[in-house]
Amino acid sequence: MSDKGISPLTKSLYISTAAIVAQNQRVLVLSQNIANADVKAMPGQEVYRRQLVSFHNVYDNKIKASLLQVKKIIHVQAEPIKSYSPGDPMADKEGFVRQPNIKSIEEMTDVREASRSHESNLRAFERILLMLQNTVGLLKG
Amino acid sequence: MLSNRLSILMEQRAAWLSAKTQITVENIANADMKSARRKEIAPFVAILHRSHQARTNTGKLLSDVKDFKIKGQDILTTPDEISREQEMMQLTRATTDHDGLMSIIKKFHQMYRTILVKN
Repeated sequence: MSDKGISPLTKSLYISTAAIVAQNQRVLVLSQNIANADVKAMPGQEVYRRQLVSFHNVYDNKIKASLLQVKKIIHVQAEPIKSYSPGDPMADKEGFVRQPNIKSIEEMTDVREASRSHESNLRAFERILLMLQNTVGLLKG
Repeated sequence: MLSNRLSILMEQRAAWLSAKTQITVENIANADMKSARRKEIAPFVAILHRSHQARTNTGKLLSDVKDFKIKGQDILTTPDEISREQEMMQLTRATTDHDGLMSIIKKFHQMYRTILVKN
Protein backbone atom coordinates (compact mmCIF):
# COMPACT_ATOMS: atom_id res chain seq x y z
CA MET A 1 0.00 0.00 0.00
CA SER A 2 2.63 2.47 1.00
CA ASP A 3 5.10 1.67 -1.81
CA LYS A 4 6.90 4.66 -3.17
CA GLY A 5 5.96 6.15 -6.49
CA ILE A 6 2.26 6.57 -7.04
CA SER A 7 0.31 7.77 -4.02
CA PRO A 8 -2.83 5.87 -2.91
CA LEU A 9 -5.00 8.82 -3.96
CA THR A 10 -3.56 8.83 -7.48
CA LYS A 11 -4.02 5.06 -7.62
CA SER A 12 -7.65 5.60 -6.62
CA LEU A 13 -8.07 7.93 -9.61
CA TYR A 14 -6.77 5.18 -11.92
CA ILE A 15 -9.07 2.59 -10.31
CA SER A 16 -12.14 4.83 -10.74
CA THR A 17 -11.22 5.69 -14.33
CA ALA A 18 -10.80 2.01 -15.25
CA ALA A 19 -14.19 1.22 -13.69
CA ILE A 20 -15.84 4.09 -15.60
CA VAL A 21 -14.37 2.82 -18.90
CA ALA A 22 -15.52 -0.75 -18.13
CA GLN A 23 -19.06 0.45 -17.36
CA ASN A 24 -19.08 2.47 -20.60
CA GLN A 25 -18.30 -0.72 -22.53
CA ARG A 26 -21.10 -2.48 -20.67
CA VAL A 27 -23.58 0.25 -21.65
CA LEU A 28 -22.39 0.02 -25.27
CA VAL A 29 -23.09 -3.72 -25.39
CA LEU A 30 -26.47 -3.30 -23.69
CA SER A 31 -27.41 -0.57 -26.18
CA GLN A 32 -26.62 -2.96 -29.02
CA ASN A 33 -28.92 -5.54 -27.43
CA ILE A 34 -31.77 -3.02 -27.12
CA ALA A 35 -31.24 -1.72 -30.66
CA ASN A 36 -31.33 -5.25 -32.12
CA ALA A 37 -34.14 -6.62 -29.93
CA ASP A 38 -36.77 -6.28 -32.67
CA VAL A 39 -34.59 -7.03 -35.68
CA LYS A 40 -35.98 -9.99 -37.59
CA ALA A 41 -33.56 -12.30 -39.34
CA MET A 42 -33.73 -12.99 -43.08
CA PRO A 43 -34.34 -16.65 -43.95
CA GLY A 44 -31.01 -18.48 -43.73
CA GLN A 45 -29.39 -15.59 -41.88
CA GLU A 46 -28.25 -15.86 -38.29
CA VAL A 47 -30.32 -14.16 -35.60
CA TYR A 48 -28.64 -11.51 -33.43
CA ARG A 49 -27.50 -13.05 -30.13
CA ARG A 50 -27.82 -11.25 -26.83
CA GLN A 51 -24.44 -10.13 -25.52
CA LEU A 52 -23.30 -9.87 -21.93
CA VAL A 53 -20.18 -8.34 -20.47
CA SER A 54 -18.09 -10.05 -17.80
CA PHE A 55 -15.56 -8.18 -15.71
CA HIS A 56 -12.30 -9.11 -14.05
CA ASN A 57 -9.51 -7.37 -12.18
CA VAL A 58 -6.14 -6.95 -13.84
CA TYR A 59 -3.13 -6.05 -11.75
CA ASP A 60 -1.26 -3.15 -13.31
CA ASN A 61 2.45 -3.34 -12.53
CA LYS A 62 3.07 0.32 -13.30
CA ILE A 63 0.35 1.62 -11.01
CA LYS A 64 0.61 -1.30 -8.57
CA ALA A 65 -3.13 -1.65 -8.26
CA SER A 66 -5.89 -3.88 -9.59
CA LEU A 67 -7.98 -2.28 -12.31
CA LEU A 68 -11.42 -3.38 -13.47
CA GLN A 69 -11.53 -4.47 -17.09
CA VAL A 70 -13.91 -6.21 -19.44
CA LYS A 71 -12.88 -9.88 -19.46
CA LYS A 72 -14.98 -10.97 -22.42
CA ILE A 73 -18.24 -10.36 -24.20
CA ILE A 74 -20.40 -13.45 -23.96
CA HIS A 75 -22.85 -14.29 -26.75
CA VAL A 76 -25.84 -15.87 -25.01
CA GLN A 77 -26.87 -19.08 -26.77
CA ALA A 78 -30.61 -18.73 -26.31
CA GLU A 79 -33.07 -20.09 -28.87
CA PRO A 80 -34.48 -17.29 -31.07
CA ILE A 81 -38.18 -16.47 -30.77
CA LYS A 82 -40.15 -18.01 -33.64
CA SER A 83 -43.50 -16.55 -34.53
CA TYR A 84 -45.87 -17.61 -37.30
CA SER A 85 -46.40 -14.73 -39.70
CA PRO A 86 -46.67 -15.94 -43.31
CA GLY A 87 -47.31 -12.46 -44.70
CA ASP A 88 -44.08 -11.04 -43.32
CA PRO A 89 -41.36 -10.44 -45.95
CA MET A 90 -38.84 -11.92 -43.49
CA ALA A 91 -40.78 -15.17 -43.08
CA ASP A 92 -39.19 -18.44 -44.18
CA LYS A 93 -40.83 -21.05 -46.45
CA GLU A 94 -42.93 -22.36 -43.55
CA GLY A 95 -44.12 -18.86 -42.66
CA PHE A 96 -42.07 -18.44 -39.48
CA VAL A 97 -40.23 -15.27 -38.52
CA ARG A 98 -37.18 -15.48 -36.22
CA GLN A 99 -36.33 -12.73 -33.73
CA PRO A 100 -33.59 -12.38 -31.06
CA ASN A 101 -34.46 -13.69 -27.61
CA ILE A 102 -34.02 -10.31 -25.94
CA LYS A 103 -36.30 -8.76 -23.34
CA SER A 104 -35.98 -4.98 -23.55
CA ILE A 105 -37.05 -4.52 -19.92
CA GLU A 106 -34.22 -6.77 -18.72
CA GLU A 107 -31.76 -4.81 -20.83
CA MET A 108 -33.09 -1.50 -19.51
CA THR A 109 -32.67 -2.74 -15.94
CA ASP A 110 -29.07 -3.65 -16.73
CA VAL A 111 -28.51 -0.22 -18.30
CA ARG A 112 -29.85 1.40 -15.15
CA GLU A 113 -27.53 -0.71 -13.02
CA ALA A 114 -24.55 0.17 -15.23
CA SER A 115 -25.45 3.84 -15.12
CA ARG A 116 -25.65 3.78 -11.32
CA SER A 117 -22.28 2.10 -11.15
CA HIS A 118 -20.85 4.64 -13.60
CA GLU A 119 -22.24 7.48 -11.49
CA SER A 120 -20.78 6.05 -8.26
CA ASN A 121 -17.35 5.74 -9.81
CA LEU A 122 -17.57 9.23 -11.24
CA ARG A 123 -18.53 10.65 -7.84
CA ALA A 124 -15.64 8.76 -6.26
CA PHE A 125 -13.33 10.27 -8.88
CA GLU A 126 -14.60 13.78 -8.12
CA ARG A 127 -14.15 13.32 -4.38
CA ILE A 128 -10.60 12.03 -4.75
CA LEU A 129 -9.80 15.01 -6.96
CA LEU A 130 -11.11 17.29 -4.21
CA MET A 131 -8.95 15.49 -1.65
CA LEU A 132 -5.92 15.99 -3.87
CA GLN A 133 -6.81 19.65 -4.40
CA ASN A 134 -7.07 20.12 -0.64
CA THR A 135 -3.70 18.50 -0.11
CA VAL A 136 -2.04 20.64 -2.78
CA GLY A 137 -3.91 23.64 -1.35
CA LEU A 138 -1.75 23.35 1.79
CA LEU A 139 1.15 24.74 -0.21
CA LYS A 140 -0.82 27.90 -0.93
CA GLY A 141 -0.94 28.69 2.75
CA MET B 1 8.38 18.84 20.64
CA LEU B 2 4.63 18.37 21.07
CA SER B 3 3.84 20.18 17.82
CA ASN B 4 6.42 18.03 16.01
CA ARG B 5 4.76 14.86 17.29
CA LEU B 6 1.35 16.18 16.34
CA SER B 7 2.56 16.97 12.83
CA ILE B 8 3.88 13.43 12.47
CA LEU B 9 0.63 12.01 13.78
CA MET B 10 -1.36 14.09 11.30
CA GLU B 11 0.85 12.91 8.46
CA GLN B 12 0.28 9.31 9.53
CA ARG B 13 -3.44 9.88 9.71
CA ALA B 14 -3.40 11.38 6.20
CA ALA B 15 -1.52 8.30 4.92
CA TRP B 16 -4.10 6.01 6.53
CA LEU B 17 -7.00 8.00 5.09
CA SER B 18 -5.48 7.83 1.60
CA ALA B 19 -5.10 4.05 1.91
CA LYS B 20 -8.67 3.76 3.19
CA THR B 21 -9.89 5.80 0.23
CA GLN B 22 -8.08 3.47 -2.16
CA ILE B 23 -9.68 0.39 -0.59
CA THR B 24 -13.14 2.01 -0.69
CA VAL B 25 -12.70 3.03 -4.34
CA GLU B 26 -11.64 -0.55 -5.18
CA ASN B 27 -14.82 -1.79 -3.50
CA ILE B 28 -16.96 0.67 -5.48
CA ALA B 29 -15.27 -0.38 -8.74
CA ASN B 30 -15.87 -4.08 -7.98
CA ALA B 31 -19.43 -3.69 -6.70
CA ASP B 32 -20.91 -5.27 -9.85
CA MET B 33 -18.74 -8.38 -9.68
CA LYS B 34 -20.62 -11.09 -7.85
CA SER B 35 -17.43 -12.91 -6.88
CA ALA B 36 -15.88 -9.79 -5.34
CA ARG B 37 -15.81 -9.52 -1.58
CA ARG B 38 -15.63 -6.39 0.51
CA LYS B 39 -12.18 -5.29 1.60
CA GLU B 40 -11.46 -3.14 4.60
CA ILE B 41 -8.48 -1.60 6.24
CA ALA B 42 -7.46 -2.14 9.87
CA PRO B 43 -8.33 0.79 12.17
CA PHE B 44 -5.83 3.63 12.34
CA VAL B 45 -5.28 3.11 16.06
CA ALA B 46 -4.38 -0.57 15.56
CA ILE B 47 -1.73 0.23 12.93
CA LEU B 48 -0.43 3.11 15.04
CA HIS B 49 -0.23 0.88 18.09
CA ARG B 50 1.71 -1.78 16.15
CA SER B 51 4.20 0.72 14.75
CA HIS B 52 4.56 2.32 18.17
CA GLN B 53 5.35 -1.07 19.69
CA ALA B 54 7.92 -1.72 16.97
CA ARG B 55 9.47 1.65 17.74
CA THR B 56 9.74 1.12 21.47
CA ASN B 57 11.21 -2.35 20.84
CA THR B 58 14.00 -0.79 18.83
CA GLY B 59 14.56 1.81 21.53
CA LYS B 60 13.40 4.79 19.44
CA LEU B 61 11.17 7.17 21.29
CA LEU B 62 10.34 9.68 18.61
CA SER B 63 7.86 8.57 16.03
CA ASP B 64 8.90 8.68 12.43
CA VAL B 65 6.61 8.73 9.40
CA LYS B 66 8.63 5.89 7.86
CA ASP B 67 7.72 3.67 10.83
CA PHE B 68 4.06 3.94 10.01
CA LYS B 69 3.54 1.38 7.29
CA ILE B 70 0.29 -0.08 6.08
CA LYS B 71 1.15 -3.68 5.33
CA GLY B 72 -0.71 -6.33 3.38
CA GLN B 73 -2.01 -7.88 6.60
CA ASP B 74 -3.83 -4.61 7.39
CA ILE B 75 -6.09 -5.07 4.37
CA LEU B 76 -8.75 -7.62 5.26
CA THR B 77 -11.05 -9.37 2.83
CA THR B 78 -14.40 -9.92 4.51
CA PRO B 79 -16.91 -12.60 3.44
CA ASP B 80 -19.52 -9.87 2.82
CA GLU B 81 -20.79 -8.81 -0.56
CA ILE B 82 -20.12 -5.22 -1.59
CA SER B 83 -22.88 -2.70 -1.07
CA ARG B 84 -22.26 0.32 -3.29
CA GLU B 85 -24.28 2.65 -1.05
CA GLN B 86 -22.34 1.62 2.02
CA GLU B 87 -19.05 2.18 0.24
CA MET B 88 -20.18 5.61 -0.95
CA MET B 89 -20.94 6.48 2.67
CA GLN B 90 -17.50 5.23 3.70
CA LEU B 91 -15.94 7.38 0.99
CA THR B 92 -17.88 10.46 2.14
CA ARG B 93 -16.66 9.84 5.67
CA ALA B 94 -13.05 9.44 4.56
CA THR B 95 -13.32 12.62 2.45
CA THR B 96 -14.78 14.60 5.35
CA ASP B 97 -12.07 13.31 7.72
CA HIS B 98 -9.43 14.23 5.15
CA ASP B 99 -10.89 17.73 4.74
CA GLY B 100 -10.89 18.21 8.50
CA LEU B 101 -7.31 17.00 8.78
CA MET B 102 -6.16 19.33 6.02
CA SER B 103 -7.85 22.25 7.81
CA ILE B 104 -6.01 21.38 11.04
CA ILE B 105 -2.67 21.16 9.21
CA LYS B 106 -3.39 24.51 7.55
CA LYS B 107 -4.12 26.09 10.95
CA PHE B 108 -0.87 24.64 12.28
CA HIS B 109 1.07 26.25 9.47
CA GLN B 110 -0.68 29.56 10.14
CA MET B 111 0.26 29.32 13.82
CA TYR B 112 3.89 28.66 12.95
CA ARG B 113 3.89 31.62 10.58
CA THR B 114 2.37 33.90 13.22
CA ILE B 115 5.08 32.88 15.70
CA LEU B 116 7.82 33.44 13.13
CA VAL B 117 6.47 36.89 12.19
CA LYS B 118 6.19 37.97 15.86
CA ASN B 119 9.75 36.88 16.59
